[in-house]
Formats: sequence, structure tokens, C-alpha cells
Amino acid sequence: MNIVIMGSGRVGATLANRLSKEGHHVGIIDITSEAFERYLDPEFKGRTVLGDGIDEDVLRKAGIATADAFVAAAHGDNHNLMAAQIAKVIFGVKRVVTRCNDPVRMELYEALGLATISPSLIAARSLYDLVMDERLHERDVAAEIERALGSA
Amino acid sequence: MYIIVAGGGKVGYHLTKTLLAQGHEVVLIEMDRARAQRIAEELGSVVIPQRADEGRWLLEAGVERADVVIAATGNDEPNLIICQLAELIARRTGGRKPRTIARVNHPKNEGMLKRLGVDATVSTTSVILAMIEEELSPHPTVHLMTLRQAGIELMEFIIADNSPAVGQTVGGLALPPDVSLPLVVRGNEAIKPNDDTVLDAEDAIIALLPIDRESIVRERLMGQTV
Repeated sequence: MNIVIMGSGRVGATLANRLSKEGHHVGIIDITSEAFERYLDPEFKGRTVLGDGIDEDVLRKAGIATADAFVAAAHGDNHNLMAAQIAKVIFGVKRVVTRCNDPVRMELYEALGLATISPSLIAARSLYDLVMDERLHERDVAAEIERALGSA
Repeated sequence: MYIIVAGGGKVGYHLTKTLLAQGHEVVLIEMDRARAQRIAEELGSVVIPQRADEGRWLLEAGVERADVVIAATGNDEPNLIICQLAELIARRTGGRKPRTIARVNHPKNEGMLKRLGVDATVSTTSVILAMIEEELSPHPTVHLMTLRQAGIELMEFIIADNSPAVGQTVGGLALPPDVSLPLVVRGNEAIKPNDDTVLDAEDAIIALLPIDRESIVRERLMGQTV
């Protein structure tokens, strides 16, 4: 698959590394080159594009015109939502997934036909499961929490 | 009219003040509490000290009965989201769709916001750039208005003494058929010109033209191209 990811922080880059390793064509966008150096694997084979993901030209450089999927994984919800809409409405990308930190705003995302993921909800749910788990004392809690937070 | 303004920076604050003075009912949503309080002290209880990009505050502001929602924050992304949220909430609550207007800070986003459903955009940067351009231009030409959808603009040309149009009839200018000259202002007089109207130096000519015709009209009326 051809996939464009906006945001090369922990979430975006972890996803990009994995997709690249699986053989997908990945274009990743960030406003700082430091983000690429910091979080992308040395063996990452995709394309890195420096710029703003709400800029059509930047999206084009990352390969949006032939993308099967677009993931908005930057920090700001508004920024993610605008980029995701450009991918969906302007470039007609079929699968668009948006990271949304504020669960309250997810309704708008869904109304616009964008799939949303809320890392804060996921982390809270995982933490809840761990806290309420009867067998808590038998498990390596530190490692589980680490894993739960790491996925956020 | 009932108008909701989102963002109480310099633009949002002055807009709110002006609209109130014109007798409109206005609510301003400003997330900075200190700023919101300062404005409320001056303008009265018309300020909601919250984020406008969270639907519940638009709901609290009564978005379902708003005629216009103006997103005037200093960032383009929240301005888009505010307009979309306003429309969505108005629709969900059975209200009529408010007219949405977004302030655009990055000129590149102007077209994009419209394509994503905002009714109208105002680009502060483009407005200032255009004004500076007029000031710098050696030709007395003024862009009065651009009707972007139609690709048409309204311009004013002031005929200089040495222009080839002086003493010429409107018909004699042989302008392209899609260019029209609805008005000539001579001194204090407004003339509706026809093909036989003779042009004079100092005449201000109002022209309605497709954007790509600007250079040919400029050449015929001013004798110069850009």
C-alpha cells in the first residue's frame, strides 16, 4: 500500500517504521527534521518530507496523489482534522485515519466521515483494565503500563 | 442580526465592538480568561471565556439561532473547525445554517477553507499585500473588488494626460467583448458611457473584467503594460 503519514513524533514514526518494515511505501511529513532523526529507524525506507501537512504541495511531495491511506498523527487536533479533510476531500484518499486527543471533538471527525483514534481514551482504558485487574499482583505492572503508554 | 465571533484578539475584539455599535446582537468566545474578562468589562456581558473549537461552547452561545459565525482567531486550522462545528451543531439542533466566515492568516489556505465548506474567507495578509501593491504601483489603478467564483474583478483606472485613451471614444478602444465599462467618473459627475462617449484626461474609469484581461485593458486605457 501507499501510505502518507503526517507527524513524525512517537506515534507517527512508530507506525511509519512498522509499515516500512512490512514493505509498504510510506511518505512521512513533519515540520522539523529533528523528528525524523529522533524517531525513525535507520533502516526506514520511505520518503521524508519537511513541511506543513495542510499544505497541498507538501502533501503532493509525500505522495498523496497515489496514496491508498492517509494518517494524521500530529499533535494538534485542529491541524490533524484539517489535513485529514484535505486528504479525503481534495485528494480523494479512500482510507483516512485521524488522531484526536480530545474525545469531545471526535463527533465532528466522525460526521465528516473520518475514522478517529483517541490515544487518551485508549490509554485511559488500558490503565483502567490494569488497575481493576484482580490478578494485578501476579503481573509485571510496570511493563504493562509502559506498553499501554507507549501505544498512546 | 445575531452574530457569534470566535477569538478575541485585535481583529475579533474590534469586530465585536463595531458590530455591537451597529446594533447587532453579538457574543464573543475567547479562551484566554484574562483577555475575556478585560473585554467583558468594556463591552458588557457578551463574552464566553472558553474555547470556540469545542462544540459545547458554541451550543451555549446559541449557535442554532445565529445568523453569522465569524472565526477570527490567529490560526487557520481552528478557524476552519469552528465554522464546521457551528454548521454541524446548528444542523443537529434543528436550527438554520449560519453563514460562516473565517479569517485566513496564511494566504495559501484561503481557497482551501472555501473548498472545505466555509462560506466566505477574509485573508488579512492578502488584503494588506494588495494595499501595499497599489501604493507601490506607478499606474493609478485600483482593484476595487474581486468576484473570485466568477473570475471577474472590478477595477478603477485613472486616465493620465499622456494616455492614448485621451480624446478616444469608448468604442474606439476596441476592448474585448467580455470587458465592460459600467461607469466613468468625471469630476463630480458619474457618466454611464456608451460607445460614443469620448474619454478625457483625469477620467476615472470603472471596469468589470475577467481577471486575465487586466493587462490588455491596462494597455488600452493607460498605454502601458505591467
